[in-house]
Amino acid sequence: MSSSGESTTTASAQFLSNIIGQSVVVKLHNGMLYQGVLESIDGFMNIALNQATEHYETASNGLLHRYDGDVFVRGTQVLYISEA
Amino acid sequence: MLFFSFFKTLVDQEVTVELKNDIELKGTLKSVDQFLNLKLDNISCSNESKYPHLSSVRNIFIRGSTVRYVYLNKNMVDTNLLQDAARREAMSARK
Amino acid sequence: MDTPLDLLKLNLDEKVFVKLRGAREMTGVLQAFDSHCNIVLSNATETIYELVDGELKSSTKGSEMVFVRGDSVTLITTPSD
Repeated sequence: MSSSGESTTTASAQFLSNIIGQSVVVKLHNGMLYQGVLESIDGFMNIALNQATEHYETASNGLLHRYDGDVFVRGTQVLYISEA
Repeated sequence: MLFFSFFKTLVDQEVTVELKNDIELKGTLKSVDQFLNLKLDNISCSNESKYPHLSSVRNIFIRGSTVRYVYLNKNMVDTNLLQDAARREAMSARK
Repeated sequence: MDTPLDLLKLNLDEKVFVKLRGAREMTGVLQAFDSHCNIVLSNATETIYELVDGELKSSTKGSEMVFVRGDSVTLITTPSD
């Protein structure tokens, strides 16, 4: 992420800071799909989502879970994160 | 470092380790390192169906990455101390 | 901005729901965690889901205090119960 006073952010770091607060789709290596509002993300791809829903593979499959609280997703498990 | 320190406080206590291959072992924790590799002495069976027939083996080294769970007793842990340590744990080191 | 791990700190001493690899789930009171997602839970219940003869079955196991190695963890949240 950028350090104060310098503009040394990479394209990926800029992407991550731009999508904070947006609705995103996070897919894990095991095929699980989470949709929610991106509350926070770090350089290891650890993710905090609000109002997350859980599906398997695609959102058109049945809803597996709706999480009311914050959901923390472990970065090592993330396949991708995308704007919804 | 937090869990390395945590396990050091548990040395000489009897713990039960469940590995990712479902093997379950009870033994006295004798040693731990920064990778959370463990050394258990005087191992015994804690679950008949998950025990790998090590009748002649007394002491073992367990590679940390193979561990799924370590079962402990409540009295082995000072929860207030542990929670405080977790709060202090250098999350800011990741920024 | 608080990192996701900073936000996890808010859950210390609270009941959490942890999803793990291998169709396993744990609920318990969060006592400690680190950046690897290593966790200590108290009053924990593990639920294991298995397919037996094509049927989904679950079994549970309770423990008063358990260390969970971080590389098994996929997700942590607060239970909706």
